[in-house]
Amino acid sequence: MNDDLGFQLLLYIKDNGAHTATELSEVFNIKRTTLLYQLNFLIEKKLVDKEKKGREVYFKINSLSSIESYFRDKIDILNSQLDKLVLDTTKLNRKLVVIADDFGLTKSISDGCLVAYNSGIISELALILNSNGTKYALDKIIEANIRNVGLNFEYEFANNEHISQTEAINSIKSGIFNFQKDVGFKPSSIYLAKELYLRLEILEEIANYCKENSISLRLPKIINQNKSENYAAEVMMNRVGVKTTDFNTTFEKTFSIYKLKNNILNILNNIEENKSLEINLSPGFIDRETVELVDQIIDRGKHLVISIDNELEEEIKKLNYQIVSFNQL
Amino acid sequence: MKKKVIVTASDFGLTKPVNEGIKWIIHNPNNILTELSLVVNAPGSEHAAEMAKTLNVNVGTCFNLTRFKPISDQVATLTKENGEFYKPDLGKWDFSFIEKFKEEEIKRELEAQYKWFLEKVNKKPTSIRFRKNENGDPKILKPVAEIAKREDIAMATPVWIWRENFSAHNFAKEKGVKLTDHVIITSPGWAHENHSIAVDITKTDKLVETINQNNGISEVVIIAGFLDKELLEITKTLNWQRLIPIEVIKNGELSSRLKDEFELISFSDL
Repeated sequence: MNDDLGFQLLLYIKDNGAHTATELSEVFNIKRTTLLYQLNFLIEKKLVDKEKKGREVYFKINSLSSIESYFRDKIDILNSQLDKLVLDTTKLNRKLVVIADDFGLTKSISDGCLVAYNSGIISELALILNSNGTKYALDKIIEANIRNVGLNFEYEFANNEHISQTEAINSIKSGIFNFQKDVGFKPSSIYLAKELYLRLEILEEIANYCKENSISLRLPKIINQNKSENYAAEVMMNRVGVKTTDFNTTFEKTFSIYKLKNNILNILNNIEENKSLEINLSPGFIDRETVELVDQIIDRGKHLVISIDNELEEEIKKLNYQIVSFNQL
Repeated sequence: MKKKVIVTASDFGLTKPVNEGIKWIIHNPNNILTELSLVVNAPGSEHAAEMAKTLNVNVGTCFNLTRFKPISDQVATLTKENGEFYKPDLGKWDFSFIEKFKEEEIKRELEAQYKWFLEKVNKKPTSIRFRKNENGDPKILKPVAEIAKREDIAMATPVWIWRENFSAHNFAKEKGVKLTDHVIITSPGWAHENHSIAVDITKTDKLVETINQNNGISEVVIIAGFLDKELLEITKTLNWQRLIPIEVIKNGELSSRLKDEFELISFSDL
């Protein structure tokens, strides 16, 4: 039934008594065929009956009890649908942040990250500072008004494990400050280099700084899926209370896209309800500049392909995950 | 005496970034490519034809009856209603649409593609191949062998489902067409036991061993290119995989093995 028209017809006949189709089409100013379609539906549902008087056919209310019964049944169906919807919503209680990790490394990698962000499962871009594509990526952030952008300091401190605490902290703060100056908002998250995750004093100070500034601090990457390799860092971040995910993961190298997808889904399947997980991927298009400047080009192409794989996205949703950014944690 | 090997980059012309990736290999000190195979009707064909004029490498033509649009008019039996060629289901290796092709239309289109190459590249191709090895089917093989013989151009050894196709090979040979004795496809994803001509390009020892086991001249086909959005839209099965040869060339091991152990030649040397 066209709910509005069907209901209005029913109400009119109830309040004004039997009418012919011609009269009703004049009252409602609708075509006879549209009217008869609605009337036939009401007759089929036993809400309206027809009665022949001479040459005219009149449409009248069947009985009030049949109307009541019809609408009560409808309310029951709607209630049950609502219950299902509410239940389904409450099941969506695992959260997944999918990060594109090397946004800004080169232009073509940035373009790949943006495609994966705009039409794939990537929910957070992690910008590399001071790289060949950083300026380009910053322009894209401003142009498209993208808010889910964190900073990835991995390259800033690579192989610099003896950096002083003051120098490290100042460098991170100035990175955040400059980012905010360029784009007009704070980064949603930061990722430190492994060299800094190993330095608990530095980590604690940064965690406190992030907490005060409502910036998420990403967990240190783990290499081996079976054991936490950085317990002290994780527990310290937890004690400071800085916003982060409950778990993170990286993937072992595998040639097959199929195996990679299964690997992701197996990990997701094993996460408890009400927990959050970070997956970091490194999607990117590959051009001459990228081939000459960066490594792991095959994985970057592969990560791009799985980032925009609709089937994987559907499977993730079937596992009751909400794909969110750090801002939505 | 060292065995002779032709190393061909296929799909030159597919997209501009694929062309750029192939060019990057050619200009790399580890380059092993001796032949490019230019697809004549793809989005990057014109770009590749321009590039072909300046690259110091042999360029063959890759005829194509299974993707994009024909070059000639009046070839309705070769195309779907939208004017594009039928695309085979490679999972089932279903090329049954070839049954619909009229022989005169096949010839008309092949001649048009050949003419396109002459006009755009401004020289004769050094070899002829097909994008999906359509020349493994006698209906396509016969007219293409005629062109190869008439123009005295070598033809890539016809295969089928990434396996040898002996009768097709023999047919072309009997017609006096120049061919290699074997062809090896190096896309890693295709290298499994059912695909006797496929070898994973990252397995250097296996590739060298296969060339050594083959009698006569082998052609090693490389499917390389940079990755962009257009390529992702064109192909679901061979996009990021094209980066593998780029990384292999960058690494250099395969290049030095092939250069040291074999004589790298091109189709024009046959």
